[in-house]
Amino acid sequence: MEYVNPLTGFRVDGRRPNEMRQLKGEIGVVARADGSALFEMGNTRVIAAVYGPREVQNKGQLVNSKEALIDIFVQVLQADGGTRSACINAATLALADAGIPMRDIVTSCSAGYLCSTPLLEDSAGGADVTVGILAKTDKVTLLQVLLENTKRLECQRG
Amino acid sequence: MSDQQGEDQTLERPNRLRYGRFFLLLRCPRDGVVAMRDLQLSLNQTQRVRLEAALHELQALAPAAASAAAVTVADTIPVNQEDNILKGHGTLDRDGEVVATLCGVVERVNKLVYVRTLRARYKPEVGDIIVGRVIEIAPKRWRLEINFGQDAVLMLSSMNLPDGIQRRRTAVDELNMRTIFEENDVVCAEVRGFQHDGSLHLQARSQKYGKLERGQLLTVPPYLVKRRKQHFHHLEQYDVDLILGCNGFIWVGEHVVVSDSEKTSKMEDQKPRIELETFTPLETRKHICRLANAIRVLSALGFTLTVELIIETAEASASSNIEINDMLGAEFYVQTAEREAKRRADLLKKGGAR
Repeated sequence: MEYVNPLTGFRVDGRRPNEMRQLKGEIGVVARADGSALFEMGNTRVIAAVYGPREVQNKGQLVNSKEALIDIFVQVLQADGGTRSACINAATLALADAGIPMRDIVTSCSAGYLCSTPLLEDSAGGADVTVGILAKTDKVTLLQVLLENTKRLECQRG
Repeated sequence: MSDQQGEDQTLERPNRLRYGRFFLLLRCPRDGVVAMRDLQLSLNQTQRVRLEAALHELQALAPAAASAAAVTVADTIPVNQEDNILKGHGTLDRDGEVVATLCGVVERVNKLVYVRTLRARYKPEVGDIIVGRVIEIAPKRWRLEINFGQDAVLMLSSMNLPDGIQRRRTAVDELNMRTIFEENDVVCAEVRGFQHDGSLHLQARSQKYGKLERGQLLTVPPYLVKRRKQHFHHLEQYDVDLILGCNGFIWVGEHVVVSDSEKTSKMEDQKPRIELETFTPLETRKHICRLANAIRVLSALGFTLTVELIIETAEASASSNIEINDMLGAEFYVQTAEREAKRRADLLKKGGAR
């Protein structure tokens, strides 16, 4: 089974294996929220809204009496793969928009692997990995590999 | 911005635009639709061009130093000497370097370096004049909503009693709290201090504080209201009171005469309520609406709100014969942006000439 056309080197949607989809980000989209962001990765669109820091209603939750509660709401508007990455990126932008002090910005992307070819932003029905990285401090905060459909793939190949 | 209808029974609002609670900021340059924080306008081609020109000019007039000092999270802030620098709000010490934890502008005051966000939340200080709405009556206190993370508390002991006598609050006073303020009343007060959990304590002991009636309450982003010496403004030419609350709540209402003697005020208060209900005259109501719409347009454009600017905008709309409800339309929006750009350009020229 071939996912990358051997003649042209393109995938089905016209991207090379190392090309990402078009990115678009916008902040301040939810007027009522303290911070919000709309993030698009290709056809995947996610909106994130941040409320806080604010008073904690249930005092039993607190470990330290000086804690504050920050609510992050993420809504997937359109899902076309890579939703977890888009959610992380949107949430980061929303937190920055809300003026919440952070050590670094978290960026996230996913990639797949098929027929010995790593494919950026594609699961291609096989295993895919989602990575979350702190850009400036160069640290990894999320590393997640999903193997949902690989077993089925193996059976098909016989 | 939202305008509440609770307190102004005698005031009709000739215009009412519906603002959706949540909406997406869809800037489609082709269609010319601009949605900026609660005002949704459709501009035609010329208006869009004019607006972009005005905004571009405003951006060009902004001091160049401001944009140079912009930082995002995890950017290193350049400091001249590594020692003796006080790291303020929004900064972090990482490996001897000063790193920003917020996205904003770097401000330096003597040895203090801090990052100021552009769209800051309301940061209360003792002595701030704020406007709030009562949401709950609790034992010996009122809870007010003030456009802040937490609700503010106005203690019964921080409020003057109707009969004006300074005495200890009894149980009868506690039961009669509702005669002073009810739920959904708009109240003006001053920040007295902070509670241990960060919420605000208010006081309303002076005659100028207290319940606000016969007017409109507007919500604007708090960073558009700068702290000044005067927050109460009596606009004589309109017979209107304008209160710019530091928390972003703005009150525009009919002028209320603040009487010095508390005894006479008590008698005056009771008589009109029982005998006749005086209505706000139509002219005053029109002025209130004009000023309120001027504030809405200025807030949608993101301009700092000062009394002079609000009056100027309202007068400009009156002199251009723009209907009150048209003030929230595309044409006046673009005109206001252009007028502000011209005003700032003139100011710069005057300053440069001297």
